[in-house]
Amino acid sequence: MSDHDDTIQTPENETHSLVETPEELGWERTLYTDPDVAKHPAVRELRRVFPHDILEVIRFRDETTIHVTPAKLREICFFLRDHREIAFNFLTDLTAVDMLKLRTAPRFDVVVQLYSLPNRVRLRLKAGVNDGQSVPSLVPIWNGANWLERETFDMFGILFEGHPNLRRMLLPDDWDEGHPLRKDYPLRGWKEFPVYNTERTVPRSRTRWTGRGV
Amino acid sequence: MGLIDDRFEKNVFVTSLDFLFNWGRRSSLWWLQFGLACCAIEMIGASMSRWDLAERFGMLYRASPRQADLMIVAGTVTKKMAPIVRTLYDQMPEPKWVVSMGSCANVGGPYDTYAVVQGVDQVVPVDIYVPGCPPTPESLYYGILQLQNKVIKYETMAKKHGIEAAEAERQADRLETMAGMRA
Repeated sequence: MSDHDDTIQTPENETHSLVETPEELGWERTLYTDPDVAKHPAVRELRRVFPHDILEVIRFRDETTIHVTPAKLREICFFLRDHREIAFNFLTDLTAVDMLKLRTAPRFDVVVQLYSLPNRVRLRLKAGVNDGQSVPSLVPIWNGANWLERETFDMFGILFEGHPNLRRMLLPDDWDEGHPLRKDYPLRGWKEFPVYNTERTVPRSRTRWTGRGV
Repeated sequence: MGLIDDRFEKNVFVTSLDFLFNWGRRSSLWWLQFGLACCAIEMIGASMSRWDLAERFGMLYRASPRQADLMIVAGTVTKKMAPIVRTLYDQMPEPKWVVSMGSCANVGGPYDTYAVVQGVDQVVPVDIYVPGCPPTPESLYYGILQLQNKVIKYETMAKKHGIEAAEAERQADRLETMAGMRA
């Protein structure tokens, strides 16, 4: 923010390069949904500060998705939250997508949905990780990420480095049958349910009533 | 009291005193509030002012299993919750009845997945199955009325032949209901 250069004057409707000065280009809310995604203030700022970590920027209708490297996820989120003009200060969701059938590597996409309360715009960050690789935890930034990351770990098996309490939440604590929301996990699970009701003498011949195709 | 011999299928009102006792016993079932999911909302609706399960039938929900003699399992039973359901059932004093409300508690509902127990009768023995998703309060009413018939049978048997015979009859009846769910 301190490299203010008076000799370069860039008008609003030209494509920007990496070295333009931020103060001249404005932070209006309409820039976030501008058809030219290079004018998106968050994309602009991230390309200025983290030039090697922005892998891809996708714009679909009014939604912007930024693919980042997972190692820098925490720094990027700190930057987005603490930036005075951009101010993505609300973590809406943190989850993952198993891309097993869509691409070979990396396997998972950790998806972070952000919302800016002052500007009322949304942003999505995606970080690709492989099985067993860990992602820096966003708990130091937002405390609400605590349970979101626990749920992601429980369902996908993605480890979050720096999480204070990373253990299973939705499934029982001693669930040893894997991570259910992965694409190679069968719908009905691996194991049978143990018998609790000893008073039942006639077993049910049909214990599955739906999901014949799985 | 001598006319009671083969009248177990219908409501037994033989003498006015018997009628009074049976009415008293069947009309004061206290149920354990055990709503797990959306069926709990229907159960609550059944006990509210329109379909007044609580006041009209003398039924009352108790938070502690030690004070309840009926457990209405309303909602999906997950594998994480199953040992807890069993523990609560074991803590209820005899005689106790279980009503399985809704399709999730009957057979696992639409959730044939890794985490859902396919029917609460894999965990506790069930006396009445109430189908529906969720059952309307009127369906729950019908189930409770059928249960009241069972209570009358139990009490009449206990009065006539003693507690052990009544217990045996109750267990046999329950096994028959669950076997009918074999499908």
